[in-house]
Amino acid sequence: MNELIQLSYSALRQKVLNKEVTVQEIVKAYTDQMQKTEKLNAFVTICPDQALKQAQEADQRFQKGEARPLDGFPLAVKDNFCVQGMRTTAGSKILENFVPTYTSTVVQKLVGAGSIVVGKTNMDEFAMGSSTTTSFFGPTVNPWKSKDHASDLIPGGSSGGSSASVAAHSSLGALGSDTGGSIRQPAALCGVVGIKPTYGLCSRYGIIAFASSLDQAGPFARTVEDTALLLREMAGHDSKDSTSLQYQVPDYLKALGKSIRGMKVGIPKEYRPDGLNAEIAHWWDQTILWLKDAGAEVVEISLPYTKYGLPTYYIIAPAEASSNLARYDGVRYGLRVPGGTLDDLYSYTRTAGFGDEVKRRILIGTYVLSAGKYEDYYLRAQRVRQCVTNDFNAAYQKVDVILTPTTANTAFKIGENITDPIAMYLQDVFTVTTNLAGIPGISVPVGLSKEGLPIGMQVLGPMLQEEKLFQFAHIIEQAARFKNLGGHSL
Amino acid sequence: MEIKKQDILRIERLARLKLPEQEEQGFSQRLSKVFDWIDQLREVSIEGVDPMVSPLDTVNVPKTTWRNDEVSDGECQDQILSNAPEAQHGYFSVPKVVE
Repeated sequence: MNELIQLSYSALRQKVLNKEVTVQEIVKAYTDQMQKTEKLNAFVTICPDQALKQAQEADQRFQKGEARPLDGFPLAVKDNFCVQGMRTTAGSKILENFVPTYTSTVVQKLVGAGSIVVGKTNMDEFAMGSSTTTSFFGPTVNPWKSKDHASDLIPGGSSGGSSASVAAHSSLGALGSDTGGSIRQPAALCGVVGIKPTYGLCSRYGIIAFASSLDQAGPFARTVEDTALLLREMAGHDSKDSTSLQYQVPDYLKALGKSIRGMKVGIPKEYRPDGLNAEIAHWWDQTILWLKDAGAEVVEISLPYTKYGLPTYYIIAPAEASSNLARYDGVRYGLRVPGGTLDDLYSYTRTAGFGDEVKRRILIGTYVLSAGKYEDYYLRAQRVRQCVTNDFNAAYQKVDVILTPTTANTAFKIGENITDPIAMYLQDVFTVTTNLAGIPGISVPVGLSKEGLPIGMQVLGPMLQEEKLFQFAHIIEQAARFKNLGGHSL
Repeated sequence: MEIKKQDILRIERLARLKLPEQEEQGFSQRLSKVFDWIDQLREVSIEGVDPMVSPLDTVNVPKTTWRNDEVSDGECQDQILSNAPEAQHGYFSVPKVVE
């Protein structure tokens, strides 16, 4: 295997500056690995030729001494980010042939900073799921195998193509979106780093909307440093997104290596229910010890509304989705199934174009917003959402960050669990309250289960305190010395 | 809470999508189960709590500013129509709506 795909961006950049390697060689190494790991089905669309062309341009900039901050960074992009001229499907049949006429702001910024898009990654249809099994383009396979190699495992979701690609070294970093855990949960299950930034930190312009008050874009990478680098370049105000904040984005790299001595870490007791997976609990305790060793003060806290987070989410997210997905009507883009009347056309198109899980959520959303149900469900959920948020606000009066496991379990087998919708929804139990409150959260790999599968811990912080997240995540990364897959066993 | 088949038919109509007929019964059971679980929210005392519409209300930085009301994109009618399943004379085309 090519050594180039093992290195961090700063190491690669140094090699290019030393003229030991070219960006073209780096991109070639990554596109080769993409082909070698094709069976994982991490990508919906690949663009190796375009990537190599951009690599040439990056090489020229390096030669002229005009290299940009991310020049030559091989980046995978979740297939719900519009990229001009590149098919963008959101994992759905209804957008199977959709080619955007514009590029999402975050992709624009990352490409403007020099990163090179190598392909669009697979995802649960319209980002609705936690397993990347609901994609019209088939499931993505987790590059990690359990020791007995008995079956293929899910990579988590909905950004499972992105996390699988980073874990399989077919990209150096990737973009995902997180509505209820869709970056952090797949990051944990694939043994990579993933951050959901504060709501409003990154522009949502050009991202195919799922639930607009919860959606947020964020990066994946194999190291905290590369994750911080990507976020630094993609964050910031955008006049095309009225929910993006006017905020001066700090240099997150400066947070790495800073001491956490005297800082306070909250451990919410509600996240340790009876029957919590013993291996997850073990690695949680281990992470607490590492943070204590590094000088942090660990305190128990309570987030009493935690248990209501998930049912609240399963009203608000489908309600917003049912409105957002009304645009797929067979008129302006996407699939059309003809009908005698316009109403028939809408109905036939949507019936044929959406998969089961998307239909289920549209119907739930339609129901909770319908006359006679709106107050009882939707308004009630918005009020409980405020209670969940108040929990966090109160906690951050006492602590700097909160530490929890990212997931309740390690990756499960493809096909398992999917019949019980509530069991499936419980995949999001540790991640979803973060989206309700809008606060940032990062998942860092800490170790392996006895089966040999990755386990991730989640650090949560107050609004716009991403620096603290990177500071803590870096301490955990240094202590855990988690060995990524290295691409060898693939 | 029980979601009846007639509820499913009503929301299918509102959402302009149909489930296969043999699945409608299964779906109503499935949704009933989801709503039984969602109904635990009735335990929460929400008196005096305002509905939360957006997380931005809790952030202390300037939010949106009005941008000038100027066209900043456009001139891409052909590209946009190239995604349309059917277009005629520079318009999206649909079945006849008015007799």
